[in-house]
Amino acid sequence: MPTEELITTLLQDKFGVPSPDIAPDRTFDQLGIDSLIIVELALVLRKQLGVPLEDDELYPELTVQQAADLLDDKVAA
Amino acid sequence: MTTAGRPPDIAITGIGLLTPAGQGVEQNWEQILAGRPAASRDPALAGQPIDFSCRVPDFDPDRELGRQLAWRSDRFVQLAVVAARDAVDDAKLDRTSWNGSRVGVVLGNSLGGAATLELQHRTLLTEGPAEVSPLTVPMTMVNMVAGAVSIDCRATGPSMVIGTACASGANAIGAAMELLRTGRCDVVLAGGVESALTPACMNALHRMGALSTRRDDPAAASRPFDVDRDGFVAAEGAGVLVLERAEDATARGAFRYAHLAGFGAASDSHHITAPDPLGRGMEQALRTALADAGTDPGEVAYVNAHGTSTPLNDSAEAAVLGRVLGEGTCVSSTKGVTGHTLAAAGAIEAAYTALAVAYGQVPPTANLTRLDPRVTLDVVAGAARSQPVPVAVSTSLGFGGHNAALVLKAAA
Repeated sequence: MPTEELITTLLQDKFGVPSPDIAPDRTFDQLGIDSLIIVELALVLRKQLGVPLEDDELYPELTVQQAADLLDDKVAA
Repeated sequence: MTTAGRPPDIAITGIGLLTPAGQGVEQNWEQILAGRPAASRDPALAGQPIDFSCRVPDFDPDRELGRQLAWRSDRFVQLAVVAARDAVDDAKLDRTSWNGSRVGVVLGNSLGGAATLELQHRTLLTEGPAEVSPLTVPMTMVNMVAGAVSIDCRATGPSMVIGTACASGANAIGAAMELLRTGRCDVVLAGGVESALTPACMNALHRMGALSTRRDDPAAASRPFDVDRDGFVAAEGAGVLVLERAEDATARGAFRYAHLAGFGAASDSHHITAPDPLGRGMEQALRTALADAGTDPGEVAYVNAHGTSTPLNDSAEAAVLGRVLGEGTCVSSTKGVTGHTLAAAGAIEAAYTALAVAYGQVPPTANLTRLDPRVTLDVVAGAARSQPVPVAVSTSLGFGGHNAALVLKAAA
């Protein structure tokens, strides 16, 4: 599954963000993912992708696309 | 405003219940009057020494609250938020448009998000510190249930949690009465919640000797005042009442289930878990509540007793009720149906007491087949009894020696 799709699926299914709200250019903050919840998101993504990811590497101002790119870079590395 | 120097009566205008007897007034009252026990084998406790409990049936947090709120809330918060919403709807108030600055929230709770804490502790041990959820503390703290309800209901008056173990729900209602009597709030959502049926909590209660060990017949395990009782059945649940000054409720044409006329609280100062064998704290709480209500003991038509089904509680409590209210007083314990919902019990039972007052029906004590010969009260068993209940009492006792009593009267 492409990383952007994985993030979108997680946002919908685990975090309950309404799917019409989610788009690649939306920031996590705009989707109601605050600084506390994004640590939870990072925790899940780290497990699912098997990549090292520090708690502060994802932050609410990132867009979904930016987060996907960051994670893809880590997977490629 | 007071009448003849007495504080104003407080009306119960809404009831929200999520208990082992179901969701809402109708489901609960049907099962309570039928005396149908809720206890059953609990798959989450499979393999544990005590593998049965009373859970809230068919509760789907995603459906009730939406995924966004449900996933980040421990079950004790989920139950309370839904019960609070139901109570407000039942009172025909609108939480989206009311003056929230005049609305308070006072809830009882003891064990907080025990399930979340146990899960995260397991995660720490098996996966390491980096895997511990950052939401652990906000999902676990006891106060968070009042915070969550205040957020959900847009209530910006005082919000707090009161922890007096199994008296928490009753103490919360007592504190709410004061907020209304003193005019600090116009509406208070008052109640209690508990959801801690985890292996660690259950084994801890079992190791204390508090739980019934009737593994072969869970439905018969909670048997208050019965000579063969051997402990309580642990339960989960939430009960929230909408409270308003009676004159305000009358002015807006609200239905009033009953009036809260008196409250009393007292402490045993005796032992961390065992009740005072003479019930002195309970007696003081009960006499204080009756005096607060301006009620003569002889006027009490029904007592919804704490009646946990433990050998110690039921005999000590029965002695106090007989001494203060008179031998032969009409009493029942609805814990035969619900089991013991711990911090929620006082609130859920205040709701049942209000229903008894409103509808003139006294619930039976489920599973009571042979009354403890030391109990000299008229303990209702078998079938519900139809009779006027102009004045009723609900009692609560908690570990730590906390005692609380509420006096309810029919809405005039």
